[in-house]
Amino acid sequence: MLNKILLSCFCSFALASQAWAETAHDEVSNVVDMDGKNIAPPPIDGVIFDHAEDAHASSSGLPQFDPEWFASQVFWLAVSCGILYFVFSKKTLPNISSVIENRKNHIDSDLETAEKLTAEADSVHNSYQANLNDAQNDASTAIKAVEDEAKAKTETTLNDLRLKSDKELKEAEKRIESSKSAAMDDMNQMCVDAAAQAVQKIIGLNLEKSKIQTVVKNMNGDIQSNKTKAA
Amino acid sequence: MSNPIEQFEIHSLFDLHVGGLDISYTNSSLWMSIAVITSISMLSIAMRRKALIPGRLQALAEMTYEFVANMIRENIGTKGRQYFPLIFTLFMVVLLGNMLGMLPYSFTYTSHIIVTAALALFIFFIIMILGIFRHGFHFFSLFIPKGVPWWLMPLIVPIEIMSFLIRPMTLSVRLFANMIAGHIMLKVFAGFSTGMVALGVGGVLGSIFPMLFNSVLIGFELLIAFLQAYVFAILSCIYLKDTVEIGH
Repeated sequence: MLNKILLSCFCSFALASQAWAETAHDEVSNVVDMDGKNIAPPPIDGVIFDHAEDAHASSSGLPQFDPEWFASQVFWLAVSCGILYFVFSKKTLPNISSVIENRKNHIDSDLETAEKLTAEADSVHNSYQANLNDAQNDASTAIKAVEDEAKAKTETTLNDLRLKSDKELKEAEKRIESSKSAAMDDMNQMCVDAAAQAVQKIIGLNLEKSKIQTVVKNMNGDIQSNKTKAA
Repeated sequence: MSNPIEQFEIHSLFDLHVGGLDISYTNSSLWMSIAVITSISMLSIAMRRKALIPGRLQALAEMTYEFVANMIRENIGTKGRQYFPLIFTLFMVVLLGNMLGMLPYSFTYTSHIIVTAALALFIFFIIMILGIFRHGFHFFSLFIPKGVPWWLMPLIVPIEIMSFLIRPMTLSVRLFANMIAGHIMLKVFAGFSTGMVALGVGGVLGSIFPMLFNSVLIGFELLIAFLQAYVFAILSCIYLKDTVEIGH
């Protein structure tokens, strides 16, 4: 930015100096012009003489409308344009267009390669994803199988244990029952014995054991019924 | 004070007469040659390396190329490719003429009506010749716009012919007037500066203001220099479109 400002300042300064220089030049050369121009070029033919006259006549107007230099300008413009057209169409423009074309091809091929690589990467990614999914599935099924197995095993062990313990419980109950009835029988026997002895001692009568047994049994039955009544 | 018109004066550097015509090599011719040499060498140097990744200069050259190519594509179409070197040459001639004219002590050949008129007439005749050669008599249907009721024709056709004939005039005068006005303005403001200097110490201090204003003007003129080259080229494109296809 600063550079540009400086540059345009410099240009305007140069313009001012040019104006200044031309002012000075005018002041000096006016004198020379007065006597120099008409004498110096000797009129070789009519044309040049006429031109000199023209130049003097039109010096007050815009130089653009002075036809003296029209032919020269058109001629040199045509020459310049011709050269430019020739060089541009034969060399410069094909050069630039070939470079641009070349770059375009390069970019296109690069893009193509990039696309191919992207597709490849995508396919690799997809297969990786598929593998990952498979592995995950495998792992989950394996875990499930192991879990199921373990569950089944515990189930069977638990069942076995339950059955075994039930059996043992039942056996134990049975044993208790049998020992209870055995104890009851013993007690009855003892009761019978005690009753027999007591009868013998008190009244001196030998009673048949079977009779006493029925009495005890009946009493037992009464006790039993009382007990249930109480309950 | 110096004359702001003086910068447009032509003086011969090398006298040359062919068949009674004075085709002397003048300062105008010199700056045309400088424009030719500058544009060719610039573009050649820029494209010297033909790099895939362009440097600054190469990018500039390619930008110019793409700029003109887009202009033709948009205004003429794909058939305009044949005119590419022509439009590019015109654009470069006018652009270089305008831009070189911004250099101090230089000569602006595009500020001469004969130069711009020669360019415009050249385009005009190319259009006439190519148009008639390609389309034959059908080329003159250019003057009969489509969809206009027949009773308007007596009015429309002369207007169309007039606007066609006046094209080289507007094309040349637009460029010429822009260039001459800009350069006279620059010179007048530069003249203010030098005039003030002559007034003494206060004048020296005061002379800085026209100079600063000139700085702004130079930026403005650079814009105009580019813009006028663009306008000249794009109008040539639009006119040349008639040789490729006639819309009605």
